[in-house]
Amino acid sequence: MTSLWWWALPVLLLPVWWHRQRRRQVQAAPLATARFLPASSPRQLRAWRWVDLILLLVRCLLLATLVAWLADPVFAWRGDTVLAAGPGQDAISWFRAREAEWKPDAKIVITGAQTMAATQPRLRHQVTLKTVTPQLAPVVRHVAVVGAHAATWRAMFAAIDGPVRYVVDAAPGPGAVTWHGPAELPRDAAAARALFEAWQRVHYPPAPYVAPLQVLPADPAAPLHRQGGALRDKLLMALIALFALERGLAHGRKR
Amino acid sequence: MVSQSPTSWPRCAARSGSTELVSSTLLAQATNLDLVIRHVLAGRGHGIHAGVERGAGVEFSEYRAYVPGDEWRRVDWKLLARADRYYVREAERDSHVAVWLVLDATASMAEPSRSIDGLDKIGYARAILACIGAMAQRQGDAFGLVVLSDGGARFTPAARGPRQLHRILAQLQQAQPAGQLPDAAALRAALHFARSPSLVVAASDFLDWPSPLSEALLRLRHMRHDVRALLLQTQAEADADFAKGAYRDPEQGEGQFGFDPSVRDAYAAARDAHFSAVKAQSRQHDVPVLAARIEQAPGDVLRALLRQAGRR
Repeated sequence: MTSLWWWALPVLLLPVWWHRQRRRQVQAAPLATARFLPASSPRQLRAWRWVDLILLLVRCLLLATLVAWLADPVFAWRGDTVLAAGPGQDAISWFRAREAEWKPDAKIVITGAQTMAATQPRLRHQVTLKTVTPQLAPVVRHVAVVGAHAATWRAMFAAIDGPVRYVVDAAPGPGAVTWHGPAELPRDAAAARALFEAWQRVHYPPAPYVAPLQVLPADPAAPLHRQGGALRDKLLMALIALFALERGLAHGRKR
Repeated sequence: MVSQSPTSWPRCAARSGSTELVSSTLLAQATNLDLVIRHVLAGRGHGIHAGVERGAGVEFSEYRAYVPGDEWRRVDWKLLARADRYYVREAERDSHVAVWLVLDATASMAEPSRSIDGLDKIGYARAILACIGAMAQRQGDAFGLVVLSDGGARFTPAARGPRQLHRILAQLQQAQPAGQLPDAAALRAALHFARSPSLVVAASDFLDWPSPLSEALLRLRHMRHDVRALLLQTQAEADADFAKGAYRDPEQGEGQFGFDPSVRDAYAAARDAHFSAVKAQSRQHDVPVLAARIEQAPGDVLRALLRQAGRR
């Protein structure tokens, strides 16, 4: 949608026309008896010359920058790149949204804990995944299980494998979570709150699955996404600077 | 009464063609109208009209202290010898003729000569009117000035004497070509002077005709004033010889006009038609028009202008 703004580029002809018009008016020399001469069409006498070339150039640049700022262009200027994905981050999605900024022959390497997508991503560039699975620090939690099916629950806690180890204590002690089991439903609000807090303490979110090492082949038919805003700040600064320059030059010319 | 003949200008009459050019060139370089007057009048300055009295200051009236600007010849030298002070003899004058100088200082009068650098119509008109003013002052006549510029009329009331001449010269020097002629009402207010018989000399290019100025001049003529018009042209206008290119009218809007050799005849025809109409209407109302090129020697033009008066 924003690329429609490029159709506004003909507005650059306006300053070109203005500067040329002035030239035409200055050109005719005063002659007291000009009224005795046949009126001539100014079109034939116009010279394709411009006055205040620097000001004209600055005005054209100003308008071109304004149009570019509105059109928000995306240029393919990035080369070979290594992207590092933090734990739980999806570098492939991030890359796919801005893929138009990379040159067509750029090679992309993604390191870190890139999560695995549900389907194989289709990208225009060849992407090499050199992922590393992060090692979680082992954590030990103490649990005391009471209630109807205590033996079964103890067996389940003992079977849990992963970075969090559960040590089942025989009796509730300081620092241990008391696990009543599902048969022991909370009787009142305070008991329910205590149960919820206990669940919060023992629960940990599932660790994202890190994609295995692989090379995603380039797919020329893949849709190319372009996310704007890359040049917006720079163009805005240039716009302000050009506007100040244009005002200064115009003021200086009047004086 | 003795009428001073225009033939009493031997120096002007003796000028040859080569000195004419020198004279106009000098006019282009001169910035001081006083010097121009001295050069053009060359020591003589009488004969502007049939004088009612002989010379300047006939009947003694009183002594007055000398002030810078007074003519040396009017200083009473015997009194200087007695009193060791300069006194000027004032004379009773009873001239009935006032001279009115009308200067058209509209934008078109800035038209320069295409052959002499620095010479333009307004400068030439200034010099001629300054000379007439100086002659009037030397004859003891009252003289005034009306400058038409930028849609207005600047009026200097008529008076006599060297100070009035300096005043008039300063006004002439200040007149810069700009704008258009004032409208008829403003001009009527400025030119409603003159109940006594006056000599009115108008220097203009008369490119606008009929115009408020032409109507005013004809009206003055109907009021029995002696009205004379000096029509100023450049040699390039007379020859229809301009550089090829685009031109614009300094007094009219945006229109553009082109000149090249193919339109020379059309230009000459349109110009002749206009000025023929100007002269015909002037003749009809008994207003002599002297067409002069600004490359001509001002002395010759002045002489021709006064010769017209002699015929009347």
